[in-house]
Amino acid sequence: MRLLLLEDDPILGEGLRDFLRCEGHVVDWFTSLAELTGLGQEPFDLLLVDWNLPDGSGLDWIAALRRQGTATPAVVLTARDLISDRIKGLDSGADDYLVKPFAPEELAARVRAMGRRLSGVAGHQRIFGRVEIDLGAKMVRQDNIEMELTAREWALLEALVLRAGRIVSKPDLDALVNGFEGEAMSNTLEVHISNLRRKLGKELIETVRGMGYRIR
Amino acid sequence: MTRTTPSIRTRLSRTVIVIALIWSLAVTAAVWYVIQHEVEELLDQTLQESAQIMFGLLSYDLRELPANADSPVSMPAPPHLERLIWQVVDSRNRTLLRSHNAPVAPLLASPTVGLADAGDAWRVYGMRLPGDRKWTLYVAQEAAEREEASVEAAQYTAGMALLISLGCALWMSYRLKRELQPVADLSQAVLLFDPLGDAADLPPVSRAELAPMHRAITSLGARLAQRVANERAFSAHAAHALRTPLAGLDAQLAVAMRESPAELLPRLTRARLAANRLQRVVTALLALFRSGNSPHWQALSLSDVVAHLSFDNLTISCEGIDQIEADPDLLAAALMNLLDNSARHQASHVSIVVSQGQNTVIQVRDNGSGIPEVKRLQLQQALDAQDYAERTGLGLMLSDMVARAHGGSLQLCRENQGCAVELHFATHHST
Repeated sequence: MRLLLLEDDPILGEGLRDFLRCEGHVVDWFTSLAELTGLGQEPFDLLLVDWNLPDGSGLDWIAALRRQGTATPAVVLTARDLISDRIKGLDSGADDYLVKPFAPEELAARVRAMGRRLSGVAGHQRIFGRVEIDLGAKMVRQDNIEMELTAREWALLEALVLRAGRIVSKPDLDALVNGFEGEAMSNTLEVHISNLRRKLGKELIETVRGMGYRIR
Repeated sequence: MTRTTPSIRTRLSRTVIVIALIWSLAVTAAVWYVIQHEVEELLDQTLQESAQIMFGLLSYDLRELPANADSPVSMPAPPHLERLIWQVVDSRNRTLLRSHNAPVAPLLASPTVGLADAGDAWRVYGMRLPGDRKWTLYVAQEAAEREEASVEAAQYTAGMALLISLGCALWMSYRLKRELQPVADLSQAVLLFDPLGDAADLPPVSRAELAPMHRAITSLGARLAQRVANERAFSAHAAHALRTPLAGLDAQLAVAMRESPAELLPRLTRARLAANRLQRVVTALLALFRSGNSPHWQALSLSDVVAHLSFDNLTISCEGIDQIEADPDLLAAALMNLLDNSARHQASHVSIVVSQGQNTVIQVRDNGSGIPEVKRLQLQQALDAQDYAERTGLGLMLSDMVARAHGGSLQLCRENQGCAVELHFATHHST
């Protein structure tokens, strides 16, 4: 999943970024609201937002996104633990609320839960023909045989699975898999798609000419 | 044995009664003294006046008076109780003439002029009648009659003084009650006064003497509110300043554990356990500090609260009632510390059992090394007295403070194996 992490504390931000990357997510870490200007319609699967930021309120930013029609799920990370704060946080448009200090494992579990909700299916498992994908265990089987995927290939597959049935454009797919810090991949996207098709079957990923890719 | 605090009204009433009694006795003594002098004088004057009247009557014609001392003449009189008697005696002190109730024998041993006492029986006034025969007129009054008059006067005075005093005491008691009512009203107002709430100030007092107390309480409330506001502000800042670095520390350690070589893993695991314990303690302290002993009561599921308190190598089971009313943060803080104690005392399992009677009792029982009986009694004594310094650990102290914030207490149960701690919370009914 591609995550936007908005956290001004360098130690926590770096720790969460690295931990979530270890979990296989693409994490773009920002430390202020000012850094978010110009993001436009950049695709993210989940927003992890600190309430108190040096240049404003993370909650206000989420509320503004909701007013603009952005439905990307958001988790508020904050030191505020009062019930009234939690209510305010959720009412502002956040989908979840996590009080600091929290174990990064718990955050990762909540990210996975958000992923399940994003894909619209209750469990971690998805079945596309002969291919069975377990998003929780990050495992792929074809005809009950476990297949080895590289990190990039898994990220690509996960991005498509989370949007199963929908067309994902090449730039969005590139952003979802790579984030801002990753290597430019546009010229290698087709290579990874080709590898996935070779490992999991040609019929799994459909190319929609001039628009992007789709899995269904 | 509980000693009852003395009441101002009772003490003042007692004082008034004692003063009234003393005043009554003093008045009686004074009246008695006055009677002894004035009434005696008055009665003596009456005797003299009577003698002078008799003198006038008898002097009118002394020759008509009988002079035979062998058979004294008793003067005729209608039947009546004679209060004053009289005698006429000759120079040899023989009775010549007497009133009908006067004794035949002369009242005095020798003819005497002026006031004199005839033993204890009579008070006598003697006057020499004119003429050569040197006759003496005695007019006498019974001494008992005179004493009775004095005693009755004193008794009536004492009785009336006492009655008036008691009446005054009752009236004073009533007035005291009325005058102390503003104090009771102020006490009631202080009871309902919440300097931290939105309610108005204390109502004005109706007695000038209470104004300083009113000002002092209002000022105390203002200082208290300011201090709590400062503490809450500090708590909010401290929460942010402490929680974020703690979360960062844990995240960094979690990443380090994944990236580090295997030989460093045990050390990092211990470091992370310590960091987690630090998190729990800080979270508990912040929750307690923020609550300011005013729990935010709400209905909650105990199993939900416990679900967020995971400890490595410790299984936790919840039994009994699940839905209770408590402050979720404070309860979590208390349970967190009790579970932490269990984990540090070699427990592998903890059961949390809730029962409800007069109070809500949350029992946390583990299978750890337990507490020796002597130590348990010492700890319980320290908890009961809130004497935490150097006598209890932070976990028990925090848990006790949480229980007290909920109107209850912490009890360490006697166990043969393991340890059992009970959090007693007052039953709270949501409005």
